[in-house]
Amino acid sequence: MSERRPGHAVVGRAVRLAANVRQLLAVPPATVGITLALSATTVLLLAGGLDTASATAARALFATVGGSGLLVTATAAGSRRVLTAGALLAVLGVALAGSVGGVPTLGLLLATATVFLALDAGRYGVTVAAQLGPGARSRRLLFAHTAVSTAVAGSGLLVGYLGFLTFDGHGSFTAFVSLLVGVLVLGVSLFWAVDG
Amino acid sequence: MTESDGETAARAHPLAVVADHHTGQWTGVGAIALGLFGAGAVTGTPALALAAVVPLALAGHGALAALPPTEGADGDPVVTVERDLQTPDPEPGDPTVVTVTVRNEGEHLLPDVRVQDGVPADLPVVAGTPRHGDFLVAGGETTFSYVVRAQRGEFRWGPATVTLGDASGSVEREVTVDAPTTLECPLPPLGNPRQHLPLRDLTTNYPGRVETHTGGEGIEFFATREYRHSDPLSRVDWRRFARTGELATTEFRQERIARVMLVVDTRRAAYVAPAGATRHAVDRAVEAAHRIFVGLLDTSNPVGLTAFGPTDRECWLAPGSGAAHRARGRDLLSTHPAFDREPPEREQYASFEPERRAELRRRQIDRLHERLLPDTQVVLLSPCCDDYAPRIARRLETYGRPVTVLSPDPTSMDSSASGLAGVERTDRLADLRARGVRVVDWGPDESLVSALAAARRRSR
Repeated sequence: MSERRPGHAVVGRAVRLAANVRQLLAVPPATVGITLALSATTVLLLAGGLDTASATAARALFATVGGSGLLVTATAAGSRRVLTAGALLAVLGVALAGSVGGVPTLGLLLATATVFLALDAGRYGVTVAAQLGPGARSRRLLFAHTAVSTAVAGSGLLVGYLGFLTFDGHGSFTAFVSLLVGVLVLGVSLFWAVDG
Repeated sequence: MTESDGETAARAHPLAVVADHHTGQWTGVGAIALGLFGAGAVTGTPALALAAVVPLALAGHGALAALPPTEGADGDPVVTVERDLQTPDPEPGDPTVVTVTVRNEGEHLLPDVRVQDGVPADLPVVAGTPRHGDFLVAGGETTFSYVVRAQRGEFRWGPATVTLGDASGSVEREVTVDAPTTLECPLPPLGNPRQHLPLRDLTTNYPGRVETHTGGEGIEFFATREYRHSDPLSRVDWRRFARTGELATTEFRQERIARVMLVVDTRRAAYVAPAGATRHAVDRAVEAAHRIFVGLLDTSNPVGLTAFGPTDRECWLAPGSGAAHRARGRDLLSTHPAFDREPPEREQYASFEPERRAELRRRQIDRLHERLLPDTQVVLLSPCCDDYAPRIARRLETYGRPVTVLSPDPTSMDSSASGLAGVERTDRLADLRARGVRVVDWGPDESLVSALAAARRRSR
């Protein structure tokens, strides 16, 4: 009779724990995985640039970590309201980090993108789970949706960053802001025209 | 694979739009973008103002979303559903794999396709899930499977509910896609069941295999009596003549054909089962009826069957014999609504005053008696969990019609209430026995073979 290795017992316990956690999830596990990865990226992007000796920077990081944690928890629990609250808190953290300085522009843009992508993945996962249940096979659907959203966010990020590179040091900030306001007004008008 | 060749999968195209939804996927994102932009402008941070471009792009993507088309250029539905059953006619209790294939028949990508299959409510899904989500490229398909446990009866799948969403997840259109599929689960054919119920003495005048308490021609010794002139010499008891000098005639037990009507109690009150059990008394009674039906046909006894329940679910098969009759009986027990697995919505005559109800119930018993030939005996299959079922047996006995009650026991000793119901049922069966009705008590964990064998021992 062969003896069981200690490693096997640990792996067995881990598998059982994972199975139990799966049963607690209100959304497909893939959704939680995507949200977790995106939220962690947000935190890492900001933490890498912030000097936490400053009180505002510490608050920014705290808000981002808290918001990201809420995003993941709310996704796992299937709560859209808490998801929105988590995203708002994380965006507040990004805004504070941006106002403090220290985080590179590209890092700030990426952090913003990951917050909204996490919100998107979470909301979509909750919608899918409400209809199909957390046990249905929907991984391909979730990854495809996130891929499309990432492509859209990436395009926006690219446009914004190229604009920043174009104007940085070559034009006035007032002109740059005016252009952005124009773009925003156009975008919002388009939004209401189509949505209304 | 079509229904006509016995397979139950079918492709169907009718597609109906149920509703369009806005999911609120990007609600509030535009406002947050404005907030970010404002923060950037106020603090003089171009990077922050720029960051607003990302949520704005996402919100714009959601705002520009359009409902996916449901019909192609040629008017055909863009989505079809095909259902394939591993076993088209499984036996009760068998697991059956259902494979569903969803196809994009259109010319464009369907980025979000969510399917909820229309599984019949009475068919339990024991493995997998009848729900699935995927994206479908033009001409592509996705497949998923789940397992149902077959139940006795005929089950039709409802249309699959398919939700088609756009890539942003902002809008979705709910449609139903019809894919007619039927699972027929008849009672299993019984090759050599030997489920012989001990029958009562009422028989026809035709020779058969039911032993009677009458002497005459036959095989088994029955009695001797005084010699009569017309008696054949072969039946004279010569040994007795040698011993005593008296002539006596040997009589053998006569064997006759019995005409039997199986009456399954399908009233709402009969749909009872022990707590946690998967089969109720009617289901067990139907299985027993099938075995006895086949067993009686095997021994050349004409047998019929009927349900004693709501008059709108009436089923009547007059006693008969032959292969076609056997198949008809099996078919009726498998799929006729009278033997449905679901109980009637309400008890027959429940809305009447008690006296009127009692009168109508008496008439129902009388109608049963009047429809039967005088030489037909009745086998009543009922759990006898109320006073009405024993009344049926008693009233028929009063009319001189022999009744045998086969009673699947649905009680248990799990709770005091169930225990009390069990005691009351035992009292009812004892009362029937005291009145001369033959009773076969079929325990919840007992096989029918065992119950019938015990009944045969008692009847000797």
